[in-house]
Amino acid sequence: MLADSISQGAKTTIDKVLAVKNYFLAKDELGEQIYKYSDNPGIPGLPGASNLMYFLFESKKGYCAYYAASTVFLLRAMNIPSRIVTGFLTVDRSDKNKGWYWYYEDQSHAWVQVYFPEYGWIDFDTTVGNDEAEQSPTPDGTPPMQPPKAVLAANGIVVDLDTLKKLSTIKIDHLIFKDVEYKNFSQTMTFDLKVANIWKDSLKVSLSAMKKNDTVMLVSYAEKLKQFSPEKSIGPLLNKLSFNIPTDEVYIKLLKEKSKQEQAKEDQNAPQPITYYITRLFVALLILVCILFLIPTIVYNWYKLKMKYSKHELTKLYSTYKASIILLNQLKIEQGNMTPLYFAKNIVDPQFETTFTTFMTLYLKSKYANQKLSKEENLFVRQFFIPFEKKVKQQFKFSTRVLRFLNINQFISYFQFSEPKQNA
Amino acid sequence: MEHTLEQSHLQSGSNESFTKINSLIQNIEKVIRGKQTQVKLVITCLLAKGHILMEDNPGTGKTVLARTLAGSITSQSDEKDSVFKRVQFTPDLLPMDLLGTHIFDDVKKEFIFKKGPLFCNVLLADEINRASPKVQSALLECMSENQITMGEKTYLLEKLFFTIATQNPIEMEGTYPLPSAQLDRFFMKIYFGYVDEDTELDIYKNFLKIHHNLEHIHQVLTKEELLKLQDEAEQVFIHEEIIRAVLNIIRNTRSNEGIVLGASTRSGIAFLKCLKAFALVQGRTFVVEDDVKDIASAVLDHRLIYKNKESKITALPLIINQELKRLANLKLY
Repeated sequence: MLADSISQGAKTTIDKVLAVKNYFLAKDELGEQIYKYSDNPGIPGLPGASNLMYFLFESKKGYCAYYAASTVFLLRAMNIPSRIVTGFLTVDRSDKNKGWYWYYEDQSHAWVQVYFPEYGWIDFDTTVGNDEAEQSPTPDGTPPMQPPKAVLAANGIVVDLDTLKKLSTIKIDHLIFKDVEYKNFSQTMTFDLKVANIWKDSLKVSLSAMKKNDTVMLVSYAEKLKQFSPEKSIGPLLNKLSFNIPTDEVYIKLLKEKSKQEQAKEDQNAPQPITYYITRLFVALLILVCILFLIPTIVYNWYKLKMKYSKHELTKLYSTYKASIILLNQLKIEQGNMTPLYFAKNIVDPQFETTFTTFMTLYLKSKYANQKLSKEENLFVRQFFIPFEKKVKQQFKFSTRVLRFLNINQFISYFQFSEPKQNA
Repeated sequence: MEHTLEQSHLQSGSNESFTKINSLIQNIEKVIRGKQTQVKLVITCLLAKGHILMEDNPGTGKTVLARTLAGSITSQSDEKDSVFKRVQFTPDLLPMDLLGTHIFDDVKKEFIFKKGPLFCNVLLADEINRASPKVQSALLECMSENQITMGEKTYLLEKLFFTIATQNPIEMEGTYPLPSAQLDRFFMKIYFGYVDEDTELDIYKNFLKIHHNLEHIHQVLTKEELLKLQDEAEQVFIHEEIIRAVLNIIRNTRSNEGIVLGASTRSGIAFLKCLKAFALVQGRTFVVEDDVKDIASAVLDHRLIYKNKESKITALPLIINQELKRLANLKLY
């Protein structure tokens, strides 16, 4: 009777099943659920009365088994093959051991499986939700798992890698087999990576991330290896293990990662970043010093460029004057407290047989006399510098010139005011 | 080309005046050996319408230089040309011995003014610091204002009036140090010093010839030429920045710790006049920083009173060199 009224209008099996589910989820005029979840449904007042009748028509509350059982009866009344299954309902995964779940007593459950001829037994759960007690997350109750014991661990460099067959030839220099350590050798071994998890920088990666010349650590838990016993030396052992060794885990070592780890270790002992910053500072200083040493050359060439490309006659003259003085100063022909004209006349020209004095007089003329230079004089000024520079440079070796041009102290001394010497 | 360029440059402005100055220098150098700097400075003072004080130990050539210069610019025969007078200063010298005095004329029955040796064009005041301060100050008015006041009358001196004073170092006995007011009126004070070894040997070898030259020094510049040169010296161009440099040097002498009494404004003006004249002596029509360096200490040193012996040596060169450094690095555009 009830089953017919529930499944009114539903033709297919699935519609009928859903109709039953909806029947239990239906709400009254006030929006209250008609069927409620309860762990304590009570028992019918009359002994021997059908618990099923009591649940469906009177108390309308119960736990999973009540719903499952009544669903089964309703479905079977509609000639739908169905059965009750019991088990546990959980979503709690263990954090301690991946792949583990835990079950508590209150997570036990019962639900219905319905047989569809085309698909077989399909799970249906018609139990209504428990509004009153939302389940709080329960603590991780899994016991710590004993990590599986590796049979073989090897460290080496990838020599060859076949990503199709998932085989890799690795040059091993460090091997541990059943707790016996073998060091200081170099042998190639072939590893089977079909089931291996490959880790790089604590990330799981695909086999293609493995490259030739990578340093890798391989770990195997394979049962196959357990039958072999360790040898005293590496030679006989490798002879025994000359097949493709099934590998479970591969760790690709990053050099950077390694240094990070080392740093992390050192961090705990001493304030590591200081040395890091000091190196950076040192490099920056080094660059700065390099630039510093190049300053005389830069300034000298700057004036030379200005001399060449400036259109203004006075700028040209001034740049020529400056370039000459800097050139001479860097070559340790110091002006000191001499006036430029005196310097040119008594120091520069006698030494280099140049015409610096003439240039200086012309420069001073244009500087202090407010007189424009004549065409002849302008021509002289323009043709002055190149032969002058040549003549001066002739007297010094190339290496001496370069070294002296790097002498920043000499450059600074040009700007410094030297106190006149005491002449008694 | 380079050579002609230099020549043309060095004689820029007035070829004529440069030749004249050069001939004067050469004439003096017939007698005075190895003192080119001092000779130039003396001529500078002459052209700047100033007066010069020469100081050094006896026998270093001060008087000889003064006599040679005087001989080169004065005439012994022509009354209208420059007149040279020499006064030997002694402790008992009186002002009237310099200025002149009123003498009673028996015939005309009146006092007439008998002009003293100051009424001349070139005066050599030899050993000026041996005279008493009274005589020294008698020189003050003549030197600064070119006039003499006697009683009620004021007599103008010659337009060209150049005093060359020599003195022995103050430490020597029987000297009256010149008051600073008097010193300030001398444009320059130069030191002679002994000549170097080669020059001295040359002097010893040729002393007869030198003496002969001194006796027979001839005039190379007339009064008119000299006055013209003085005018020309005033026309020399001086850049604003050089004037500023002079200003800075003068002001720095006042603020310097080692200098008790700094240079006066009058000394600044004298400095500028000397700069112009010196540029002309060097054959230029404009002043450059070298001129400042060459004459600064001669112009300023005697006007300053130093705190101690050390600052006497270092203070002024420091100020000058600082300013020259500024000028040398100056970008004038």
